[in-house]
Amino acid sequence: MQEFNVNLQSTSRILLDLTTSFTWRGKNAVGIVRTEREIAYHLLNDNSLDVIPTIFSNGNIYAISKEEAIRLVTIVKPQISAKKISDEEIPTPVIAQSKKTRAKAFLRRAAITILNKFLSALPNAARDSAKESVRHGYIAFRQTLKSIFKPEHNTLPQTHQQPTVDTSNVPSEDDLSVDLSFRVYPDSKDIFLMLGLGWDVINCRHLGTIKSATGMKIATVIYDLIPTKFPHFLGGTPKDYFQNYFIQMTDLADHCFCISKTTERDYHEFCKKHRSETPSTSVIYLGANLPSQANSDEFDSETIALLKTRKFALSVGTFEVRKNYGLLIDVWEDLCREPSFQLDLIIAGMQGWGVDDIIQRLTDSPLYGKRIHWFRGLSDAGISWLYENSHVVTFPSFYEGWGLPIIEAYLHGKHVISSNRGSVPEAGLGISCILNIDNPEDWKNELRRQSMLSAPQKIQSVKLPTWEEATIEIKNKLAAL
Amino acid sequence: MTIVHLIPYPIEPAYHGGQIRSLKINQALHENFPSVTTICIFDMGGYAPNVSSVDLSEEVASGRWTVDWEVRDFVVGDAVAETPERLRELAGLFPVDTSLIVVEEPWLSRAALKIRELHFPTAKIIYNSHNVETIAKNNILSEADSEMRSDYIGRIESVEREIVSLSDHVNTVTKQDADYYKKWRKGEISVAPNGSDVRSKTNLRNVIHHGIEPSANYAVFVGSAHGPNIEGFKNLIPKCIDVLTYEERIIVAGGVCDPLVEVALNGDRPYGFRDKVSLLGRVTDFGLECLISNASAILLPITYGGGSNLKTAEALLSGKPIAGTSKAFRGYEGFIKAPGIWIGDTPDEFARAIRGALDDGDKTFTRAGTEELLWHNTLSPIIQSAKSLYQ
Repeated sequence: MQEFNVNLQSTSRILLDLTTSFTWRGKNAVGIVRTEREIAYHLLNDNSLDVIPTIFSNGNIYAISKEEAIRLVTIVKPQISAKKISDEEIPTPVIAQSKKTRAKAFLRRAAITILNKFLSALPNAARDSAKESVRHGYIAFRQTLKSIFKPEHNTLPQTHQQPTVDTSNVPSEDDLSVDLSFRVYPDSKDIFLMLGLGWDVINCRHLGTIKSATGMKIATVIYDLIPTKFPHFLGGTPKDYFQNYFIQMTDLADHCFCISKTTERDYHEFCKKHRSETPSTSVIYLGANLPSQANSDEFDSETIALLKTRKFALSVGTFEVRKNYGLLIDVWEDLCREPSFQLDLIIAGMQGWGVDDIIQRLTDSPLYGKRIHWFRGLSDAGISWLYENSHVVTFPSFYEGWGLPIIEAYLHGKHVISSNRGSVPEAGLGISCILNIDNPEDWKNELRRQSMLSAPQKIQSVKLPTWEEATIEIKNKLAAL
Repeated sequence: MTIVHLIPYPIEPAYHGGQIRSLKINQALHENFPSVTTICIFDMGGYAPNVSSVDLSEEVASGRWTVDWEVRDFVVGDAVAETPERLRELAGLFPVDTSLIVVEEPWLSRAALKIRELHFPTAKIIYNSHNVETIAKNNILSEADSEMRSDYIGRIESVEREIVSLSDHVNTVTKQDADYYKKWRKGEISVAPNGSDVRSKTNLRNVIHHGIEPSANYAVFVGSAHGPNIEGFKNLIPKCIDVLTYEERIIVAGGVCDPLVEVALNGDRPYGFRDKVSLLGRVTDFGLECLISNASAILLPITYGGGSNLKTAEALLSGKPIAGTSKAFRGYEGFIKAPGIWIGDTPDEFARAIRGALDDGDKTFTRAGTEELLWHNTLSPIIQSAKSLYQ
């Protein structure tokens, strides 16, 4: 473990919020959850710091032991094996799936309406507690139903058979439980550091109460302003859900770490629009340490053989509108008409919101299951294996707060073709091939060129950001607080 | 060459003093010797969900032995030694190159001696005493007014005398215990006192159990459901409640809380307990650190028992004010005059000790010599004896 030379004041203490890791315990980490886990792991193992891992619950901050915290940020979901579907196995019809989805959405809306009526009848003081109870009850109910009817995520039309779970490595209930008996009563020397999905797991009203009563400082990470800048990329009807959160953080946080210069600029724009003062900010680049060694255990032998013999372009990221997979499908449908084009497309990512029509297009495509494949629910090791065996990596996103898949591609020595939007060029670190997403012909030309190469294009040497550097920046700024 | 470490309870997780001491010895053996086989044999009903290395459930339930908790450890040891099939099973767990057998407490010693005689005649045995059990069990059975007392004390003494006299080396936790054993043994006896770990350096200020008001100053008592802990609390604490102000509390943590619920609810001071005492039950190691870090004082209300109190070492190392009995300082007599220590052996004296300790609640005391109480130092005689006998 690297020791850093920065020392916080002897009386300063970091209350490291791990509520996101707690909520996601036992699951494969993606994006923000992984960021919280990685930075938390480095901070927890830094003996020069006074760190208390905490969980925010019911408006209180609870301390947990370092051992529990390390388990929370390191336990991953059991390995699952994704197998390629045989020709006889018909994917779940998309129409039927959509009806199911609509029915579920209707029931959910009905339940929320009834719940809101009920909550509005309660006095203010009781409402938050009631909401919290209902939320926990709902989660428990959903998990119970899920465990009965749907053992593992199997909700999608898919080209790949449902994974089989290897139970030999399943963490027990004891591994996942934490003791919330000890409450932290902060003071002005404490810094509450939020690295995760604050908008989902932190009640800002209660956090504000604690801050004003104790003088506790708050630092947080701003990942992107997409929810307010491009609300149409978002699922559901969040109304002011994110705007409210960003405003709360603007008021509450003593320092905001932004994950790119683009995000920092977007955040300053947001503050300018909604607040006269811009809070203290700095940029941390997310680390690029490989989260896992490549491993093909999740793929059956047929899939491995296919991927080993074919050249493929890889695109990693949640299947959602913002990732712009539609562009890749269009481009592939055109290019695959050319006999000389021998590059397949692999998309690796879970399903996001609002992509029924794109998924419909994908599954209706004659290329689906032949030249275009989609893997969901892969572990870090499985994704690493895909990177390792890919010919080139594509990242056509409409907008990003950073662009971690680009960095991961570099870690595997892969050339990246990326979009010209948001922080994507910044994440390219000057060596990616940046193309205008409004010009598909540019994409086709570059992909044709890549297809002609017998071996993956070598990338220029570049210094990649590390989690250690991100942690040092966080430590420096917290020390200054 | 392998060392077999024979322990009469599971050691992970370790809750009571015997478990903690055995765990620390086990860790020290692993650190100092290349091959250590750990065998834990116990009544699984008392330590669920841990699994004993040899299952004695049928033997214990056969009706041949009494199952009263006061003598359960003796019964388990007797059952394995006196049942040929189980003894063979235990012997089968010993590696073929066993050269040293380290026995914790006397309960499994008869089995160890038989196995040495039958299978490993050149192997050496180290007996690690945690107590003079003949005295301790006599106290426990007397306290329980048990009819079994006369029957069992003789048998327990026989087992203890046998291992003390026949083992190749004996380690006790106090000089008094060593002196007692000298009438049974001519050979050398070392003293390896109980110790403590350095608590983490993390600043745990204001990390408070949810059952304690954040504004309260409290004295904490941590103990397992061991007879001396229960009796000491019952005899001393109810009569001390009145010295606490409205913002002061006595906080009790550990297995000792279970039997004390009865005292709190049905004793003479139910309302005093309601307002001034909290029984938290078992807490994690991290919880203990938080409790001790934020305590104004530490209580050691031990009125009888042999051996030495493991919690005393921890309290001394904490630098917190301590209110304790002189019995609680058995094995640590050199610290009785150290700063911030208030001794009381009667209820009135103990009440004054609590008052004095709480009045010192904002102070941290530096006590010379407490570094000697770290496990690393206290257990060195055991490791030295093992090194001299290891072949």
